[in-house]
Amino acid sequence: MSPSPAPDPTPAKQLDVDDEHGAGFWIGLAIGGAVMAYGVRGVFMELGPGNPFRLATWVVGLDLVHDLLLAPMVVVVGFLLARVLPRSMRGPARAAAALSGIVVLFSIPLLTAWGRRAGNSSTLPLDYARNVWIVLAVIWAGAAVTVAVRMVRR
Amino acid sequence: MNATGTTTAAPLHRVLGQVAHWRDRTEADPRHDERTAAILGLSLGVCFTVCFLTGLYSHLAQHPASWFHLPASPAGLYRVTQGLHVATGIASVPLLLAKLWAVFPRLLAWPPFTDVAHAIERLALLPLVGGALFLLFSGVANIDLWYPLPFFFPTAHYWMAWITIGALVVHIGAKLSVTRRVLRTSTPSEAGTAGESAPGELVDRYARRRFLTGVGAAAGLLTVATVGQTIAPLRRLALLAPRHPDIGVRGFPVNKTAAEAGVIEAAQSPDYRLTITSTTLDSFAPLSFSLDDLRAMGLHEATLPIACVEGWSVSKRWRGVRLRDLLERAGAPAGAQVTVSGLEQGGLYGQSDLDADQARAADTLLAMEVDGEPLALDHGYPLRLIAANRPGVMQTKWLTTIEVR
Repeated sequence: MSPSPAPDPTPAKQLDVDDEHGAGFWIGLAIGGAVMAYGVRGVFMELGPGNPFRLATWVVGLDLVHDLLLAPMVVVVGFLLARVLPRSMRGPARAAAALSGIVVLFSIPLLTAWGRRAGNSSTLPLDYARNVWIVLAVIWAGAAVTVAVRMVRR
Repeated sequence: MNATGTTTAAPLHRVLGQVAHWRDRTEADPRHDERTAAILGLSLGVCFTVCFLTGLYSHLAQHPASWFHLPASPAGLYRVTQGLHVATGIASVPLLLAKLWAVFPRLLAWPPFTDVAHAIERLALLPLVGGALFLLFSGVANIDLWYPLPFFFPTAHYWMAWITIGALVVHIGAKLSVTRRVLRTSTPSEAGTAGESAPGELVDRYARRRFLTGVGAAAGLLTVATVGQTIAPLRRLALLAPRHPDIGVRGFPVNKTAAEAGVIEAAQSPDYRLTITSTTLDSFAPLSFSLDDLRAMGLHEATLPIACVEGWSVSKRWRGVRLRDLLERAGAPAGAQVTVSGLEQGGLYGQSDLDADQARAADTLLAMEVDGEPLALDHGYPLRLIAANRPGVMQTKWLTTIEVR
């Protein structure tokens, strides 16, 4: 298979145009590398046998979940919304969708209440399903107002 | 797509072609350009620095080093630093996701690197991005009292923070010059992109501004919906807070209940005594007090916050015996340090240390009452430590022993 996924006859332009790997980069690498090494040493000394590997699995795993699942999903949803929505609603609707996604993602452990403990009424004490709906209503009301204001102005 | 692949590799090739097509289209999109990346990067850099420093402070507060001791004042310092730690972490969630979305096309750049330095720079993105995602995920899970990790959260969160900050320093070293270049000028054309017309610049600027406004709105929304767990006037807006400062036994939260600590019977035993003793000082004569003995010593009042490492806090009016009165009664030397222990057996937080300053501070109480009522069993009845500027887990409950060193 060809090494380049780019269909273009001209090679993909380097988005990372910065070729200034000067003194600043090497100084940062020396300092940052030392700090990272200190952290890795701490992981091996204090996290317990077998756990450095498990931690690495979590770190790489979360990275992969983002890069292969979450980010492409956001791109696809944004693309679909742009297709079905009229131009005047596109921006606010995409923003509201993104905000809703973040709020729901953040609220998953609240909605599932995995951390709620019997006998301790102060753990996750609120009606989070109702509250998430309230927050989503505020977001979409804001988007609707934005669209309405734009239509009136035009 | 006029993908060049053979027929067998066609589906994969078509997907890759679409991906490359999307990536190339974003080149003209100001929401994916260097200036947007720099602005979001700068915001995240500030947030992660705040999180790192406040986290370091919290770690030192719980594991004092020889060169560090907890200041006894201001009383609300830990409440502020830890509230800031959690709030900044929450605000970083949308910032990080937006930043990763903005630079996502760069992940797909081909070829992946151009020289050794560039390869190192991109390799350091793995601990940076993975570490940042891990810190925010594990932190949010922890404040939600959810423990999915197969290892001890504080240790992993702490050391991963060092790794992530190190990777951030590497990243800043690599991006410093481009960040300065794109932030110094207000429009792309001034930055040297030749031949752009004024209307194009305006469209760019408004598209970027709208995107960044949306990101700011997301960060603001999550902050407002959670920060009421520590800032009293915003309590009613705390719709997504995992704790509410007014909800719990006697109207404030409980971390570990008496049942969970296994102390229900012992804490209510009529034989309850508080013992002050020393294993290191030769001439120290141990003393033992009943609750009535303690009350007879005179109760003092102090308004102090209880501030949990998980980010909630609430200020309460406590009444109890001063630790320093007990130390004086027992004839403890002036510079003595103290370890207080409770009834809880085997837990990590069944005891805590006070240095000489904290032990002698006028506000350091062995509390029996809160807001004019007797302490509830879940809040540490019959006796709990309450002192200025300490993480909640170090305000030891169900006290039985005071060890003088």
